[in-house]
Amino acid sequence: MELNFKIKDKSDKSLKLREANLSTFKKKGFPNKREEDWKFTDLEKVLSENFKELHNNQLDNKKPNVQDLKFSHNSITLINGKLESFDFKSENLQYENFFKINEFNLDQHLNFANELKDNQMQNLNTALHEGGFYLNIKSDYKFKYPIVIYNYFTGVLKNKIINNSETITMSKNSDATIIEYLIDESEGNFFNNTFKYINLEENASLNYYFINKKESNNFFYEFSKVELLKNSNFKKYLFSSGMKFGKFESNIKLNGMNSCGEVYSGLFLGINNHQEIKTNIQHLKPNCQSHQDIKNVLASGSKGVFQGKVFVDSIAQKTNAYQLSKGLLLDKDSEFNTKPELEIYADDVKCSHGSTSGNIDKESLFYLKARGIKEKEAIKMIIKGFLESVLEKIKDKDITDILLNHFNKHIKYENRSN
Amino acid sequence: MSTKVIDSNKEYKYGFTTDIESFKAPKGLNEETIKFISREKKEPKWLLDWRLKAYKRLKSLKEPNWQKPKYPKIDYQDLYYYSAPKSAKEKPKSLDEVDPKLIETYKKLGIPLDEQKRLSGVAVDAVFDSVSVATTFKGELTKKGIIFCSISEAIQKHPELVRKYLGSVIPITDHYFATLNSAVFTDGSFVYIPPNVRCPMELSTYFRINASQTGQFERTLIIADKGSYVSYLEGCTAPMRDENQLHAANVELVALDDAEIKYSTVQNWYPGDEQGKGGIYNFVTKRGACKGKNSKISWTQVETGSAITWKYPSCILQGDNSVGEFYSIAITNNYQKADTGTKMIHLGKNTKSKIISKGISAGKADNTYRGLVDINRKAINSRNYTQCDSLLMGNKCGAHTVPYIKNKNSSSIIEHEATTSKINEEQLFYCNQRGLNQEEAVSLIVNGFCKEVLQQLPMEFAVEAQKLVSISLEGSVG
Repeated sequence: MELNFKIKDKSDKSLKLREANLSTFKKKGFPNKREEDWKFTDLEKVLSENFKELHNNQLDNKKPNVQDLKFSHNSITLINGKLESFDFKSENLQYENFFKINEFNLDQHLNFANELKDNQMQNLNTALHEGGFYLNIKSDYKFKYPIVIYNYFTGVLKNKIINNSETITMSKNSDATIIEYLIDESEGNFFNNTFKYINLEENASLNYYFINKKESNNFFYEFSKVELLKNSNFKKYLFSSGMKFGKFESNIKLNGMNSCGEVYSGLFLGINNHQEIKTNIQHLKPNCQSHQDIKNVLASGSKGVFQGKVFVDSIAQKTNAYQLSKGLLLDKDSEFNTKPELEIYADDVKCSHGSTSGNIDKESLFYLKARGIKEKEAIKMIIKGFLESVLEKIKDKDITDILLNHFNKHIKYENRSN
Repeated sequence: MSTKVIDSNKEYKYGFTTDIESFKAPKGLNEETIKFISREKKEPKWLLDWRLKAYKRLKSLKEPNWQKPKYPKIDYQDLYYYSAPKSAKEKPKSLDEVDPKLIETYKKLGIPLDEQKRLSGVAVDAVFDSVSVATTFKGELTKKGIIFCSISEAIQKHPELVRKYLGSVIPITDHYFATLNSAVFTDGSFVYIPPNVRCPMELSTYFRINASQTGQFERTLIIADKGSYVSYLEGCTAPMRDENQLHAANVELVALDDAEIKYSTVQNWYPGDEQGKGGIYNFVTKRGACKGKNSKISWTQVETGSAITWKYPSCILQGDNSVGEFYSIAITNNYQKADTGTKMIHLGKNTKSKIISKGISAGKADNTYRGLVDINRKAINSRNYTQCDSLLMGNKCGAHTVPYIKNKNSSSIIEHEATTSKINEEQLFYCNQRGLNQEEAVSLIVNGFCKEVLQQLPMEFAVEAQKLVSISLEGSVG
C-alpha cells in the first residue's frame, strides 16, 4: 500500500507539529494484530488488502442528497468530515444564548490530542487533520430537541483518507441528545479516521447516538475520549446496520463522584463486515456507575469484536460496573471474539461481566414454530428479542422508530444451516 | 536474577549459599552447559540434538513481557543449570536452623514432626524415603504395566515412548521459558498408562520435588493410552527453601482415545516475606493434548505460594467429543503476584470445556485471571462455560480478569461470567454473631467461595488445601 500523505498548513508552528506527528506515525505504521489493542483487528492488513494507495488530496465536494429526518430537531451538517452548515432554529433562541460552534482548528484540537500522543492513529489524525467542529453548550441550557449530525460522505473518494475530529463541551447543568447520522453515498473506497473529545462538566448530561443509515462499503475508525465530572451522565448508543470495516473506541473517564457512563450497542453485520467495539471505562472517583450492553448479530461471514475494559482505581469505592456482551452467530462463517476485561484495585465494589456467543436457540425456535409462526418470522422475532435489551434503553420514541425501521429492513436472514 | 533480590534473600539464612561448585555445572547458559547436562545424565544423542536445537531457537527468542506482574531482569548467565543432589553438609543440620515461621506453618498443616524434618530437608534420607514410597507400590504398578519413574530413567529405559511424545504438546518452538526448559531440563517424572488400565492409586510427586531441590527446570510427561485413567498429584505443599529462583517447568499430558487424565496441583512455593522480598518466580508451562476421541483432561490447581505465579495450564481438544476442565484457586497475599488462567483450544467436534477460577487477593497483592477460549471453525457443536470470581480484601490489592473469547462457529456456545466483590458483610456478621472471630469467619467464607474447586481435589489434598487457604490469608484481615 502506497501512502501519499502531503502536509500543508498556514502557520509554521502547526506545520512543524504536523510534520512531527507524521514522522511518528510513519515510524509506527498502521497498527496490526501484534499490538494488544488491535489483537482481533489487524488494521494494517485490512487496509493493505483493500487499498493500493491512500492519499489525503483535497477533493471537490459534491452536494449530498439531503435526507432530513422527519421529527423536529437541530442539525449540524458535515460533508466528507468537514463542517458544512448548522441549523438550531428549532430551539427558538438566539444562538449565543446557548451554544457556540466553530470550524475546528488545530490549536484547540491539540489540547485534547496531547494525552493520546502514544496512539499512532492520533498522530495520523493530527498530522493530516482537515476539519470537524467544536461545539460548546453553555451552562444550564437544556436542549428541547435533539441535535442531528448529518455525517455525509459523497462524491468520488477513491483511496482517500479523511482525518477529522469533533469536540463537544457540555457546561454545567446542560443537557443534550446528539444523533450522529452517517450517510455514505460516496463512490470508491475511503478510510475515515476520526477523533472525538467530549467533556461533561458538573451535572451535565449527554446522550450520544451513532446510527448509520444504510450499509456502508467503507472503512471507519473512531476514537472517543470522554471525561465526566461530578454528577454528570454520559450515554453512548451505537447502532449499525453494517459497514465493511468499523472500529469504535470509547475511552470514558469517570472523574467526578456519582458520575455515570453507559455504552449500548446493537449491531447487525452483513457480508464480510468487520466491526469492533472497544471500551475502556475508568472509575477514578467513588460512587460512580458504568453499564455496558453490547449485542452483535452476525451473518454472512462477518466478524464482530468486543474489547471492553473496566478499570477501578483504589479510591473508587462503591463502584458499580456491569458489562454484558453477546454475539448471535447466524451462520457458520461468522465469528465473534471478545475480551471483556476487569482491572480492579478497590474492594468495596460490585463489578461483573458476562459474555456469550452462540446460534439461535433451537428450543425458542421450536416454541414459536409450534405456535404456527413461520420459521423466517420466528427468527426475526428472536433477533429482535435479542436486541430488545438495548433498544428498550432508548427513551426517545423518534429514535426507536428509526432503528426499528432499519432493523426491519436488515433482518433478511434465512436459515442456511438447515 | 538481579543482585538486589539475591542480597535481600541472604537475610533468610537458609544456609544455601555454601560453595558446592563441584556438584554443579558451571554457571551460565551455553552449549557447554547443555552438553554437560546431557553427558551427566548419559543421554542418547537424539536428545542432546533436541536440546541443542531448542537452545538454538532460544537464542532468537525474547522473554515475553505482556504479563501483568513485572519482575527484575533475570540474568540467565548467572544461574546454575545442573546441580546434583546436595550433600547433607549444605542442609540445615537441625530444625533450629529452619525459619521458625516454616515450622509454625507445618504445625498448622498438621504434618508430623518426622515429616517436618523431612520436608525441611534436615533428614538426608528424605530422598530415599520418598523413593521408597514409590517403590512400595512399584510392584503393583508394574503388574498392570504402568510406568512411573523419573524422566531420566524413562529416557534410558523407554526411549521409544519418550522420543515419540516429548515435545509433542510443548514443542521446542514454543515460548521463551518453555524453550529454555527444553534446552536445559534436568529431571521430572514420566508416567505411561497402558491401554484400558485404570491406575489403581493416585500418583504423586509430593516428596520427590521436595527432596531433589534442583528441579528448577523439571519436565513431566504423562501419557494415558487408549481407554486408561490416571490421577496425578503434584504437591509443593512444603515451602521450598530453594534460593530465590526461577522455576520454569514444563508439563506435557497426552490423552489418547477414551483416556482420562486428572492433574492436581497444590502449589505453595516460598512466597517471599511480608515485605515482598524473595520468593519463587513460578513460570511454568503446562499443556495437555486430548489427542483421542472422547478423551478428557482435567486440571485442578491451588496456587497459594510463589512471589510470582505465571502459568496457564491448557487443553488442546483435538479429538472429537473430548473434554477439558480447569479448576483454579489463586490466592495472593502481601506482595505476591499471580497471572494465571487457562487456554481451551477447541479443534474437534462436540468438544466441551469448563473453567472455574477463583481469585483471592489480599494485602498488596495483584491477582490476574487470564484465559483463552478458542473455538475453531471445524469444532462444531462445541461448548464452553467459564466462571471467574474474584474476592478482594482491602483497597491496596488488585483483581483483574482478562479473558479472550473467540467463537468461529455458529453451532457452538460460549458462556462467560465474572464477578469481583469483597467479602459479604452480612455473611461476616452472621458468623461473628455465632461466636466465630473475624479470622475464622473469613476463613470459613473463603473456603465456601472456593468450594467448587476444592471439591475437585482428591481427598487427602483437599484437606490440606483447605488449611492452606486459611493460612495464606492469615494476617490479611482487620
